[in-house]
Amino acid sequence: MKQKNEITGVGLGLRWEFIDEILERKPELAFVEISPENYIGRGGWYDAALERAMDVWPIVTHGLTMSLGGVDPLREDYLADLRRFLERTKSPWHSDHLCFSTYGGVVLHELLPIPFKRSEVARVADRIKRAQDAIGVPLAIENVSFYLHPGKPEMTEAEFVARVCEAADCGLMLDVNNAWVNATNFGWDVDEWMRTVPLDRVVQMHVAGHDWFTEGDFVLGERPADLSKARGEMMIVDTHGNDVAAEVLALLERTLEKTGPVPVLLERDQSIPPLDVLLAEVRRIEEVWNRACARHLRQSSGRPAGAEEAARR
Amino acid sequence: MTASERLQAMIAKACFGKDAEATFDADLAGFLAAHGVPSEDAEALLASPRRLRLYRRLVRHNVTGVIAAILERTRARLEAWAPGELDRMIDGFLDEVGPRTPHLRDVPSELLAFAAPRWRARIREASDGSLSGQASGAERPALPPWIVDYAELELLEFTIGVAPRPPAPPPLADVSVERPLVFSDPKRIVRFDWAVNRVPADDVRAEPERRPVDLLVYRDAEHRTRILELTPLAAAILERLFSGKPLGASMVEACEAKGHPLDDEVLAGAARLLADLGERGVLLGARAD
Repeated sequence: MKQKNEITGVGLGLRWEFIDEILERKPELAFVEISPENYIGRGGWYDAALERAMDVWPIVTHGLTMSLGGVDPLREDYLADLRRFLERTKSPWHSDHLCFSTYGGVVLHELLPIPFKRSEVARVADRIKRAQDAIGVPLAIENVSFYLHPGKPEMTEAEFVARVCEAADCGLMLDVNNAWVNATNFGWDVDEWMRTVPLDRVVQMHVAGHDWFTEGDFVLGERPADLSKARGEMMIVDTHGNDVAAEVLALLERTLEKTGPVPVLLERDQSIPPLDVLLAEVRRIEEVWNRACARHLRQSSGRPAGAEEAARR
Repeated sequence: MTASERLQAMIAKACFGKDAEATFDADLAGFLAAHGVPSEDAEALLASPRRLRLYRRLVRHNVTGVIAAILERTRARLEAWAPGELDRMIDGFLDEVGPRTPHLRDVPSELLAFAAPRWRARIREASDGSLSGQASGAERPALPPWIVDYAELELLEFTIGVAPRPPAPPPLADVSVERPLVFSDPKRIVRFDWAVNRVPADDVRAEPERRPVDLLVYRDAEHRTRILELTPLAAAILERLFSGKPLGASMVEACEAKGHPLDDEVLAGAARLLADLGERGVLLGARAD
C-alpha cells in the first residue's frame, strides 16, 4: 500500500505544555500530530484547543493504545470512537505501535515488546488488517524502542517489521530515533536495519531525543564518550526528553535521501523547553529535510545539481 | 494458553504485580518458569536480566504520573497526613484491578473507585475505635477523615472540566412555573460530609469544617470548572429541575421533601438563585416545546 501524502515537510507533536502559546502564535508548521486518546470523549478546553488547531494546521493522528501486538481482542468501542475522531480531524492516515499494551483487559499504558517470531507475523498482521478496516483510513505501524527480547527472536527486528507490513499491507511510521536507540542498545548496524525495512511503505517519520541511563539501577547519566564501549554499563531510554541526537539527524538525512519528501515529526514529551527552542529544532530538522529531499530529487531525476526547481515545475 | 499469551501475561505481572520485582530480581529464571515461559524464550529474556525492572518502572511511572497530576492536591494532603498511603493504594490497585481504560486521563477515576471504599472503611473503623486513631502500624497510617470527600471533589473538578461537549440545547422560551428549565452542561450536584470546597488549596495542613455541603459543580463558558455552594433546599430544587421536572413542581416537591413551607422567602430565594445561575451561564431558559 503506497500512500499519496498531501502532507509533507516537518511537523510538531502538539502538547498541553505549550498549546496555548502555539495557538496564539500560530507558527508555520507543515502539520501537527495529536494522540486521539488525549481528545476522544473530552470536551471543554481540550476540545476547543483541538478546534483551533484544526483551523491552523493539517492534523495527523498517532495512537497509543491499539495494542496491535496484543492477545486481547481489539477494543471495538475504542476503534469506533477512533473512526469518528479521524473523520472529524480529517487525518489522512493513522499510526499506532507495533507492540502490545493490554493484557487480560488491563491497559498497561506503555509500549511493550513482542517477540520477532514467524507465528507473530501472521497473527499481528491479521489484527492490523482488522483495525485498518475498522478505522476507515490507512493505518501505519511504528517500530518501537524496546529494551529486551521477550522471546527467542527468529528474525531481526527489521525483518519482522518488513514482514508484518507486507502481510498486513499497511504503512510504516518510521521512527528514526527508535531505530537508532535499538541499534545502539543491542549493537547492530542501523544502516543495515534501514536497508531491510520497507522504505517504500513509509508514510511518516518520527524523530525525538533520548537519554542515557545506567544499566540495572537506571539512574540518569551522561552520554558516554565512546558509544561502542557503553553496552553493559549504560543504555538509552527513549524518553522524548532531549534534543534530537546528531546521529539521529544524520540517519534521518540518509533515510530521507532514499524515501524522498516524507513528512517528519518532532516528538517531545518530557523536559519540554520553551516553544522558541522547540521551533528552532523544527527549523534545524527542516534544513536536514530540504537538503535530503533535494538530493533525492537529483538522484531520482538523474539531473545535475541546480536542476531541482526545473524538475519540480 | 499460547506462547504469546504466556509471555504477555508474564510481562503484565512483572509490571503490575505487587511483589513481582522482588521475585524476579531474586530468581528471574524461576519467575519465568512459574509463568510457563518456554525455555528458549526464557533464554532470550535472561540475556537482559535487569530490563524487566525497567519496564516495570516505565509502566508504573506513566500511571502514577497521571494520578499525581490529576489528584495533585489530594496527593499532597495524603503525603502530609499519611505518608506513603497513596503509593500503597496505587500498588494495590495495580495488583488487584489495574487500569481498564484506554485513556490515561481516566486512570485516576479508576483508582479512586478502588480506593474510596477502602479508605472509607478504614476511616469508619478508626472512628468506631476498632483501630487506633493514630497509626495502627507502619503499614496503616491514620487517614484524615475528610480525605475521600476531598479527593472526590478534586477529581470531579477535573472530570467536569473535560466532560464531552454537550449537544445543542432545545428551543428556548421564557422561564415560567409550568415549564421545565434548560441548563448548560456539564454540571453535577454533589453532597459531602465535610466542607472540602472551603479548604485553601495551598495549605496541606488545613482541615475542612465538618458540616454537610451541597455543591453545584459546573463548567463555565471559558471552560473553567466552577463550584457553587447551595443551601439544602436550593440543591433539592435544582436536582428536580435537572431531572426535567417543571419549575413549579420542582419547588413544591423540594419543599415537601425538606419540610419547608413554600412561602415568599422561598420564592424570593429561588428567583435569586435562578437569576444567579442565568448570569453564570448555567440556566439557559425554559423548554419551548
